[in-house]
Amino acid sequence: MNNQFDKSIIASYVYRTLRTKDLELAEELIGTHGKLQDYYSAKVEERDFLLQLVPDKQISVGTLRALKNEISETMDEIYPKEKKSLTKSVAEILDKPIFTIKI
Amino acid sequence: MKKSEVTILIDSLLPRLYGYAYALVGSDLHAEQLIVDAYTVYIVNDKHFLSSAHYDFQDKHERAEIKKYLLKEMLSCIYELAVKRAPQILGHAKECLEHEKFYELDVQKRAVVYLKEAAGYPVEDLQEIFAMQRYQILELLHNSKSILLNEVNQYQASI
Repeated sequence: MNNQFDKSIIASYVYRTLRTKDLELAEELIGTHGKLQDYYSAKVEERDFLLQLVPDKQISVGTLRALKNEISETMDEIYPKEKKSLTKSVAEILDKPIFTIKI
Repeated sequence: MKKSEVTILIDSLLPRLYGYAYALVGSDLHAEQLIVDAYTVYIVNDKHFLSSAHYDFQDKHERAEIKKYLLKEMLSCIYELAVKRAPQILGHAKECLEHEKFYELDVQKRAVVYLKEAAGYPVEDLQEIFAMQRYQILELLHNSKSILLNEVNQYQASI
């Protein structure tokens, strides 16, 4: 196998785009070739640097609360109402007094 | 599925959805709005399927499956809305000086890089979310990395 191919396997391994069947090959290359170990370390550094360039903002407590409220309101407005069984509907009617006498 | 069950599952996904939405638009307010709008669009489109779906909410495996399904659908909806809003939100995103280089990427590249590198999704999941072939996702990732690392590579080449 040529050096360029080995390097591309290692780069894919570091960036987790390698297919499962090739994982063993990548680990073998890194484990047995000194120069490829250096290349692997350089790629890991590159990936760590790349990660710093990507924003990974955590949600604040206030935003989370606001979003939950808005989602709950949306659900109330557009989600289909639950269909109750006949027995449940009858039980609900029977559970309440049909009329009350006010004195 | 009951309304309360869908709400519980979506609520548990909000931190992940927020990180993604923020990466796409670069502003707290726009990210929040994007999630609410994407959620509304999703529920309107899928409410009949969701309300008639029968599964055991107490079974953690079934719950995990439906949660995974909801997450992918929401990520997809958020992306589609962000693409439509890109011309309006571009200015706000560019104000995000901390990640200036990242916000020079277009919305599609931002979405793919964020989900792959920051959120750790496998390529197979990205294929489902963006309805793309494996090679297309890999090409997007490669091009995005080249743009982001361009200055570093130029610097390394010069020394």
